[in-house]
Amino acid sequence: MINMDDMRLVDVSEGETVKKDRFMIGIYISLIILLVLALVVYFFGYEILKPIIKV
Amino acid sequence: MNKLLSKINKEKLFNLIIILIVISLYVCVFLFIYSNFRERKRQEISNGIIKQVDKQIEKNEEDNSLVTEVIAKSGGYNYTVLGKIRIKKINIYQPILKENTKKAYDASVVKMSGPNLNSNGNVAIGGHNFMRGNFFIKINRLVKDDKVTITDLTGKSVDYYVYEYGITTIDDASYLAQPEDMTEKIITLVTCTKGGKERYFVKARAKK
Repeated sequence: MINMDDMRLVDVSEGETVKKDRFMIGIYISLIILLVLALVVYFFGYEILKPIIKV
Repeated sequence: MNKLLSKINKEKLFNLIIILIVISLYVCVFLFIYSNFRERKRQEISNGIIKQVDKQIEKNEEDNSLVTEVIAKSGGYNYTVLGKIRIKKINIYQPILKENTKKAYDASVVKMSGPNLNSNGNVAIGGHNFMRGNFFIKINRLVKDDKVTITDLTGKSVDYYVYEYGITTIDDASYLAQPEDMTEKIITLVTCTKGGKERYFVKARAKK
């Protein structure tokens, strides 16, 4: 006898996969933004931020 | 059904953890950059003071002046400078400031007590040990016979050699005491350790 609940369990709908993919793409994009932002701030931000940095 | 719910919850939890990791990465990276910038600014202030001190020393040497302190402006603040300290082994080259204030300790090392630099007696110099900073973070690497050079504003440099070092409690200030033999020239370097609960000190004396 096949239990329908079990059938649903193994069913991975296309919508869920797309959602998951979008989430991971979002994470990758935010990591790339972090890397670019960090490099820009590190190499070019000092002179701009100098007046507000407290020693 | 329960399994499905548990799978959804697990996925949500996993996503939440990933988001938290990304946010903490942002925070860590920018804290690192800020701390690096702060260090650069400290170094700039310190180098600015050193330049002015060097000029003053040159002038004093020409005039045979016995000036013991000079006002140096750097980073928008005025500091009273007494001389310079150089410890090659741990790459320290800093002005010695007179003001015993937080602002001065943030900018360089400070004379805590004692007579004029390079005079007979015990001169104590205190400095922070910022996580990534210069100052006195590495004085615990100094061992017996390591050299500490103090230059005062007359241009006179005296080499001191380490003879004692250790940790003491915050209440014990015996390392600041003057020596019994007042013909000795002693320099005591002091910094905090164990989160400010104890003091690490290094004592060095000039050869007679």
